[in-house]
Amino acid sequence: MRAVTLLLWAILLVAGVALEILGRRRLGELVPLDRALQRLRSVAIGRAALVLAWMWLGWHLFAR
Amino acid sequence: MSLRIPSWPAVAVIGAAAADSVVAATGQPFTWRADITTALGLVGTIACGLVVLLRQRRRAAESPPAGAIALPTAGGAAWAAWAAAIVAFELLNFYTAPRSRHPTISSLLSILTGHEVLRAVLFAAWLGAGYWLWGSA
Repeated sequence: MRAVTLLLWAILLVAGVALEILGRRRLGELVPLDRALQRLRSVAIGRAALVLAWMWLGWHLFAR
Repeated sequence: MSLRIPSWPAVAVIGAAAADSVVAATGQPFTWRADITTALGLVGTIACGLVVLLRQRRRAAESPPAGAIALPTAGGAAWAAWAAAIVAFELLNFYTAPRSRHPTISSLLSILTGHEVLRAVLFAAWLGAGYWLWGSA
């Protein structure tokens, strides 16, 4: 079961990398991650959600 | 090409972030030290971000408004679908036992966070990402 879970994580990671590469090559309407996040940052609620996610991630990884 | 000399507040902030990363790297989670170093990074980054945001707002008020950022819908939807898949799989693993068979992102990252140098790099990257969130959109 661990192998299956790791394989699925790897597929998701590869999918993210592929999206980034295709976005940078401007394939179709795909965009790189920073540009997608830029749009989210441009609205107050989007920025607040990103900041909250960032806070949770740091606290979860480094403190608790 | 011209090199821009960073201002002293920028140097001070980068120095403080680097120092906090190094101190955080030598601590272990679930300790007061980890709580304090993470909280310092968190509060410091948000404070710096707010200063940057206020400066940008002031500058924007003085200059004519720029056009809105147009994001093709398919581009945003693809990333949203990817993020949703990550969150769904993370939750599935989180609520399924045992952790050794169903590792979550943090349990996989513990390989990195368990090593002091990698932990410092990851902490500094986290601070950098937090600061980037406050930049101009």
